[in-house]
Amino acid sequence: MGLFVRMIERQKWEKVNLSELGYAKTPSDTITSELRTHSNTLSLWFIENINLLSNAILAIALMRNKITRLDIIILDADEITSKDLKIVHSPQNGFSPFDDFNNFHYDIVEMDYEKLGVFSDLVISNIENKTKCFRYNKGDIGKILNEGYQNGFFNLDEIQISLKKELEKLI
Amino acid sequence: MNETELQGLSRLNPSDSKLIENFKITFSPDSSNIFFKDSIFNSQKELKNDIFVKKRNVSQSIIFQRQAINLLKNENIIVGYTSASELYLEELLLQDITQLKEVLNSVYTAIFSNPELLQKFIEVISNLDYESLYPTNTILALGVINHTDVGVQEAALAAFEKWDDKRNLSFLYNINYATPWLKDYADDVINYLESC
Repeated sequence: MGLFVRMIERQKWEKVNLSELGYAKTPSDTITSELRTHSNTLSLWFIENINLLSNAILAIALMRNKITRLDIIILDADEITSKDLKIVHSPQNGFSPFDDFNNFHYDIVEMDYEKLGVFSDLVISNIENKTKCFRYNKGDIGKILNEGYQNGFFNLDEIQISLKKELEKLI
Repeated sequence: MNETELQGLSRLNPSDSKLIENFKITFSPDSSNIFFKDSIFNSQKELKNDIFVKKRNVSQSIIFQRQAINLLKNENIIVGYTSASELYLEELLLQDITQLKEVLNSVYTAIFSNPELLQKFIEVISNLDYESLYPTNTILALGVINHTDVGVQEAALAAFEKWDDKRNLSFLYNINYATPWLKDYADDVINYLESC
């Protein structure tokens, strides 16, 4: 059924550290900073298979304004839907300068207090899985952006000025 | 005096008795609260004067420190995006770099025991102009790279990654990292800096 990708900040989910600090459950700081909903939705990017992951990374990296580290979590579509989380296709909410890929933007809708907990459990249960949770370092992100530019996936004028300045040094 | 008023007076200390003659007393029949209206008014005036005097003595650095901490407290700092705290400190950098360094040091000292704020702070300063703030910025990051909180450690490591400065490698070779994942990231940053 495919995979969904979401940007996270791994350090906020780091289980070893959380348990050492005495947290048996996800701390509220993690939920409020990592699962920021807009109109009760959570943003996801869809890929058919893992080989297309760099497309999702490019779409996300182009929406930021710095070339810096990026953590992502990959969730099976079945895994999400089996938890009664409702996913809708929402290309209109993509907003990435990687225009063609906006068609692969989805939202989990109708998020509420309980569903935030369910999604948080999904992240926690996958966070230590090295095939599900990746960190791209600054160098990796620079390469993906540069390749995306060379392939003509986006226009420099469509990205944030500060990102453009950094990227121009790499091109 | 009616019964309620007498009950109220019985709760006053003997030393308060002189006050009774000078101030109008209002009793609340359903509670034991007693309000000395004039007394409150006068003490408020004194308080206002006190605050006024203190305000005049607050240094500009303290005002900047408070403003910066308030911004950090009230916003989510998201990796890869510019924050209001960053814009605020950038503005200070343009105005007076010496004062900014003083503010950074005082914010750092004030929030050192608060990992959530400290993590945000390191993330923010890592985005400010590196050369202008060197070595203050590296010293601040170095001071927390062995912090017990994994988020703070990660932010410090990421700062060294962002700064692209090989001189910082000597620090990174000699750190104990809080979790295996963080150790992997540190190795990654070291490899990256070695290749710069």
